[in-house]
Amino acid sequence: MTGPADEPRSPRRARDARWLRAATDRVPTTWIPGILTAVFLGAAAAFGGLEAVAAPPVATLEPGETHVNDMLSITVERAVLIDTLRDAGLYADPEKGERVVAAVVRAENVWDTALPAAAQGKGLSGSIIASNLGGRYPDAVARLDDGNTGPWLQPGVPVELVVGWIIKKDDLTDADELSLEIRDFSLVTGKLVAIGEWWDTPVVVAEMDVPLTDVGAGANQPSQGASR
Amino acid sequence: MKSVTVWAGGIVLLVAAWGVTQIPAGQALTESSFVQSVDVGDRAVGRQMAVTVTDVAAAERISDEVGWAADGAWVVVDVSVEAVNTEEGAVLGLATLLIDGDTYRASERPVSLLGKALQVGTPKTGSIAFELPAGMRDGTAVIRFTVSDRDWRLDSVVEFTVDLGSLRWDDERELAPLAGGGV
Repeated sequence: MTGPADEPRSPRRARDARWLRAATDRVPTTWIPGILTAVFLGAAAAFGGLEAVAAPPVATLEPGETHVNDMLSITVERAVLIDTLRDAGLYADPEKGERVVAAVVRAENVWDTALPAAAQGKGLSGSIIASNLGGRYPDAVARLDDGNTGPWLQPGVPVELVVGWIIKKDDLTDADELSLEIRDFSLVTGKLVAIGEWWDTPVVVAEMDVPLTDVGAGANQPSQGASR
Repeated sequence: MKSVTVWAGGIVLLVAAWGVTQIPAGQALTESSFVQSVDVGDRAVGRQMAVTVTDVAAAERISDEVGWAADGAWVVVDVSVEAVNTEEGAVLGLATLLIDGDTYRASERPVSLLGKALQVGTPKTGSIAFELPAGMRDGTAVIRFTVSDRDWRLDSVVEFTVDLGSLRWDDERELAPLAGGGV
């Protein structure tokens, strides 16, 4: 660019700008940062200042109670401790002192598109967190009826699932309870460079303690009936 | 230059720029898929995949070639699929069934053609099964076959429309065993 700033301003331009200058000269510009700061602080104080935002209430559920959000309907029915549960994709190694804690969950997709149940941190897997196992997602989610370890939840089709964690033998006994947190996701619609819709920003909305039954090696496990 | 001319020129350019933004046809057109609608027996040839729907049926119980079986409201589509020009990346990645605004995904439960790699010149035959809510017996369903399981913008999509009310509901149906191709 050539430098128009170097050229002397035309007398006409200077005359045109004179009224503007006369008007702005009266504004005490040094006050402006102070005024803006006061307005900002005042607005912040009006909205509660630095006080912590009240967290949404967390409901307490009993086993068998159903939690419904915009994505899923979730009912945690019962939980067991078992040596291993390979049928459900939980390969605990007893020689390393590992066991399995598994919850039987009835889930239904109440959204309009099929959702994955076993993808870690998404869908159903991201909705159920074991808070007394370090806040972990389930290590595996499988269908109770046929032992499918990568199940999808079709809209409006309820499914019984086995949701399991591999634990150290001493982590939980049948005197303990399995503490679960249920999380709600929010639907996000992609804009600009992102397309589609997905569920994001999980928030804990309910917690529950599920009593444990120790079934030992689990000869009578439900998933024994898997047809493959 | 007279400042009036400069201002006028600037405004004209701004209006012209706004006009240009109004011309493109929007995402619906620039990103839409190339849809081919087929009936039973028709062969649709897309960019990477050729699909022929050979039969459609509904059943209250289905079973597959390895002995798996399950009750439910099942819609079964028998298809013959092959790759078109290259086998690289040619896969029946996704089949969905759209009805009443809901999108069902082809069931991962039985052994089916879902996710199977395709070959050029040797069609693979088999079935795709959809699990619907119990009692869904009516309505027009659109079944879509795509190569990618997540993005079909500007890609070819095969659509097959079926009226659920006109299907005969069998008590039990065995899925067509996987055959042909590289099986």
